[in-house]
Amino acid sequence: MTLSQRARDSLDSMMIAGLRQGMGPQHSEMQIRTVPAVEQDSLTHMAVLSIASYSFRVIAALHFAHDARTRAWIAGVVGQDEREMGPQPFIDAICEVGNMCCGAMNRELGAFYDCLGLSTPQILDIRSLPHMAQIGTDHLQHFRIDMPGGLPLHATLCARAYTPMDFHWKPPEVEQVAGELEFF
Amino acid sequence: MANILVVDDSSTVRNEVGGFLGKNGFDVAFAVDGRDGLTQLQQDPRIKLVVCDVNMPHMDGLTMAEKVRSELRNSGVNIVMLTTENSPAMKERGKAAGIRGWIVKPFNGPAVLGSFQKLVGA
Repeated sequence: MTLSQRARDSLDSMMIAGLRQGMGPQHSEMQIRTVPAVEQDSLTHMAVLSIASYSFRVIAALHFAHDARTRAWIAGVVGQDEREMGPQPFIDAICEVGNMCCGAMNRELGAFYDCLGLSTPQILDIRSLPHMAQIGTDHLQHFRIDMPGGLPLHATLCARAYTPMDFHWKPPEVEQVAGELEFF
Repeated sequence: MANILVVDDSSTVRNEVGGFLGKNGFDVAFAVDGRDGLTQLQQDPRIKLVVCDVNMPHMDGLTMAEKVRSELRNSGVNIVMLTTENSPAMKERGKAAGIRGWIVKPFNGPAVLGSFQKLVGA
């Protein structure tokens, strides 16, 4: 097994922690769990980012519907008025949530692996989702995110290890402080 | 004329950071990537502070910072990175490019306001 079970479990835990960070502290009550498949009937797109190194590639996708209900939710996440949120700002906000999620994962993986590269977000049609299983995958995990108020979201994590990958990560007991200016 | 330039490919971040800085008395200009940021700095040399993302299309923020020093020969503008990245190697590259500081997202306006005021010379 190129990707050990504890590495798989660690990646799943990182993804869940990253999704919480991406959604912001106001969503501390959301429930995130692994599911066997994405309920994609109501979904239209996915925001995709990757973390790549010499020894592995991780792809994370946040699935969403480009509709009024999701726009209302994302406007709340980024503190904007949903009535003023046009199509591109909506996409930008979704991408920023994905960026924050993968950014958190990227930072945590940096404790175990050097030379990581985090991509910028890309938007794909949700019909691309089945192809994630076709691109050479050692670990494919789907997540369901249940928000207060009933809006369900989904996410997918896809990992490929080029060399044996084994590490153990658990969420820190004390949440790391972000947003402070580190002067040089 | 602007005294702060916010460089980020995400309009969400530009709106959040620019909105906070504007409410606190700064004149804010915006750029969507490093290439656009260099153009803005060439056109407005009175910008005192650049708040810049790292991962952007066309030109990343660290490359932009290096070119500000090497090609624009602007050693006076203060550059602070605002990014999800936190790797020691990136920070070292930033230090070598003469950046003044590093902020890991999410942006916390009140936490950095006093420092930004000093960097702008307000």
